[in-house]
Amino acid sequence: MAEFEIECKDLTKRFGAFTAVDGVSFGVRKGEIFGFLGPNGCGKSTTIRMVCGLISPTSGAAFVGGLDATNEAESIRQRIGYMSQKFSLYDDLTVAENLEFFAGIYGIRGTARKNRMSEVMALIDLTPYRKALVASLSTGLRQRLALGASILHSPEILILDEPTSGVDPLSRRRLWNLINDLAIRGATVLVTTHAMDEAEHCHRVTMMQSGHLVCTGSPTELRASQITGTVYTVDCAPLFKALNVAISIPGVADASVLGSRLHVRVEDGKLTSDTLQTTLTASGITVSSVGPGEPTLEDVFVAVAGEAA
Amino acid sequence: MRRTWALMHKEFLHIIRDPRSMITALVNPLLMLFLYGYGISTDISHVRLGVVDWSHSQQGRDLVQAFTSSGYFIESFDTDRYEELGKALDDRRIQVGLAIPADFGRNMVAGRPKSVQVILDGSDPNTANSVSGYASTIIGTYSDTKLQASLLTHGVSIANGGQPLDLRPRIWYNEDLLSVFFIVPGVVAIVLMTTTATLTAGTITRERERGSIEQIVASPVTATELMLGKTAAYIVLAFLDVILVVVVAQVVFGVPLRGSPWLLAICSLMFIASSLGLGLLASAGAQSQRGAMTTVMLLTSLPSIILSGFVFPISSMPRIVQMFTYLVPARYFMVISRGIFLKGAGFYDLWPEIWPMTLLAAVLLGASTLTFKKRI
Repeated sequence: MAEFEIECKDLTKRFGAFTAVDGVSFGVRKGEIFGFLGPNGCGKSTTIRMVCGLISPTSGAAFVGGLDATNEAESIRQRIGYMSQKFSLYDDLTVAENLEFFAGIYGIRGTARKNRMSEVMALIDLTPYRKALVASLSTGLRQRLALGASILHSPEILILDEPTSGVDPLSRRRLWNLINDLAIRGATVLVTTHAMDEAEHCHRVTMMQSGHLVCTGSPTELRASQITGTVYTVDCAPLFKALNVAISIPGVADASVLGSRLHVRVEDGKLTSDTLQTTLTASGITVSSVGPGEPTLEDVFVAVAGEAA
Repeated sequence: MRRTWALMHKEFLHIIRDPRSMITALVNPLLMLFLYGYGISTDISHVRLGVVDWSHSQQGRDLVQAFTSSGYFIESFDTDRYEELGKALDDRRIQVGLAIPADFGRNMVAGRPKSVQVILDGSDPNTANSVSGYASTIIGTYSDTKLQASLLTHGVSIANGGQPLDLRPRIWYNEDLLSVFFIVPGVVAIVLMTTTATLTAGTITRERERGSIEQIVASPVTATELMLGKTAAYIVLAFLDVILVVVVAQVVFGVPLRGSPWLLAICSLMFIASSLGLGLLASAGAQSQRGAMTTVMLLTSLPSIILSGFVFPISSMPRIVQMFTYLVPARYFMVISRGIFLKGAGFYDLWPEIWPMTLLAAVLLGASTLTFKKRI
């Protein structure tokens, strides 16, 4: 038994002169939710598509369940559940008809299909919508259906490309609960997202920028190892003016707006909370409090991406 | 097999849900049938005839009468001035002019050589050609009758109107030379080609545009299963078209189906397969639905109408153009359809058309499966 359910070894894909994926190596353990993070267009989807055997790598290799994704693509298809980035169900078909179709192309039929369909529909909580046309569903419901369609054949490995893009926060949480649920039942999940905060749901994450992996580890590990300096949370107004001012203060490594607060990372020993407060007040900003903050994965990404660039 | 079935079932749902594909499949063929059936007519009748008769004689009137009683001409303009005749031809009040000289009646009676002039509108060469033929025949018959009559007055009786050879044409298959009999079986080919190719080109590209193709390719479905499953529904639809068009051809246009309906069905399937291959090939190459449609239109509409011998005979095309027609599946099916409908032709009669058409279908389908496998 291999250590990893999904493994990429020096995976590289070039489109002409453009290198979309450059020497990517990582491994996903059985039963793990592995987050693949990075901005849109960084090469996440290309990597995923190579893992699924949809496109062949220029060099390097991807293994799924110990099988080579390029040469044994046919054999891995029954074992993986793939949810592509673009919403790919049929608008003009009902929820049940879509599931029926996907069950059909995975060779499930008869009573097995009937049972599995009601099981999945209950799991994704779409039973009341079974006769609704997909065109009439909200994005959140559609994504849940798409996830449902990809798990009909009970795959051991789930590969989800941006499952939560364009979904409202509540539906997003439900989707993640569902993914968690599947992992608990033993599925290995590789999931991509460009929303850094979602990575908190993953056991381990890797961050990608312009075709390169910049760091890999658990969210806690990454926060501890990749972030230098101190993070403050500043309650102040007006927020956007404060952001501009904060960025220009010497010693501030990075600043961003997080909810209704300013999130500031300062370099080690360069700036105390008091100096930060006085400097901001001097620029005409009303500061009500400066407190210690937790670095986010976004901070991690900004820090490592800054270094890589 | 069950995977192919799942694809087929889904495709039928798409067709049922989308009225546009139903319209393309069922209304379009009827529209084409009626448009071509009634619109393309090479039959000549009711040709507007203008007359200048300077002779003012019984003989002149007899000649005009011979024209109008033939059923092909109606006298719609009468003048004494030659220029007026020209003007009428200019503004299309008449299509043909007949000028009878002043001495026509006298010469006729005296048995001297005489002549009449027929002016034709050459801006429409096809009509001019046919009209010229009709006019010659009418004038020929008229002279024969007059010759016989004058010989008879001299006590001489000659058979065959005095001609050494008596021509007795007999037309087979389409006794009344109705162009509708020629056009309608041809429409079957045009309808099948355009409908099948358009619908199949749309189905693959639609899947690609909405991104669902990737979801399917990531499943255990093979390229062949995908092609088969996606096209089977359209084969059925196209086959319904065949039945529809054949029934309308007989009931509305009165075109007889003299050959075996089964042979027509089998040949139609072969032809559908070739159009399917063409549609799939176009969609495999195109990135968008619109691109695929344009390619299909370009490949099917014009070639299948012009290069198939639907209206214009292939034998009168330049040699180089004729070479291209061998690559057009509709060329073969055109002969097959007309052969079965009008001549009651059988399998062996049509074998020279059946084998190249089947070969083309196999090549097109094979090529489209290969291109499809290469690029998902």
